[in-house]
Amino acid sequence: MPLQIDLSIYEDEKALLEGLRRGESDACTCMFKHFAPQMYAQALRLVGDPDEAEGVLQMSFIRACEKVAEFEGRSSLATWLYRITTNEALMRLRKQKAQRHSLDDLADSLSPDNLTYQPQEWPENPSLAVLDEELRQQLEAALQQLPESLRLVFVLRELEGFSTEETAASLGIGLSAVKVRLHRARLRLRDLLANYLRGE
Amino acid sequence: MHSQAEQFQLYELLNALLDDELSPEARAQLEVHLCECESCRSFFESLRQTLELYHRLDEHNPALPHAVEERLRRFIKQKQICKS
Ligand SMILES: [Zn+2]
Repeated sequence: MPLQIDLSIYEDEKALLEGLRRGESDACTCMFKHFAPQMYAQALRLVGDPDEAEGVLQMSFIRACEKVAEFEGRSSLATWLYRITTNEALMRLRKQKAQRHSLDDLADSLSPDNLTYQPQEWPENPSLAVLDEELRQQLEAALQQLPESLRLVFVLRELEGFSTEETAASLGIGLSAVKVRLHRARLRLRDLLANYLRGE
Repeated sequence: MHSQAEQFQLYELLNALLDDELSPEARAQLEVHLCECESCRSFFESLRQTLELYHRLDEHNPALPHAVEERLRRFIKQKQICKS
């Protein structure tokens, strides 16, 4: 996830990190300003609910501050923070899941025979060069229309750059389930986008 | 036109192509098919475009909703996440 960072009062990420370790409130504000928007967007994609996403964001900040001493700088600070956010979101989803009956397994039990494969018609030369606010919202909304089982795999694999193995481990599912779900998610999103582009 | 079963098989292959999971031979074979088959080619292109858009979602930093920002600020203060 590329991110332009203007660390303003801190010279670079290393200086910011040292500030965080010393518990400077400027460092905290700085981290907050630069990373919170992305962390929130990411949490919202995973948990799909604004209140829950806010809870994830807040807990991620606590975790980050607890763990900042352990952060060795092998990845960028952004990557590290986004990982914390993802873990926090997944933990929250697992807790919710333990409380409700899950239909997730249904997604994997569909065999090719009973899954219809009729891709929606794609418009000719859609204007996709400009990713404006409306299109951005459509993409986010389409994600939220996916069942959770497909959405989580897509977000981790496609947006957060997890490998198939990492995704499987994070979600406690098999490698083939990751692939099946990823492929289904891609097709559904493509179709939702096709509908939108055709003005439906 | 492909049969339903063929479409399924092709869809799996196209995904494998996207994920760079095909052997060189399988890849070459699929690429030949894409050259010859207009419907697979345009479908593949639409799938690729969809994913490209998703990959670009994080290009610009989204704004944190104002209320969320305020509550996070208060939360950080309250919990004394920063010692000072
Ligand atoms: Zn074809």
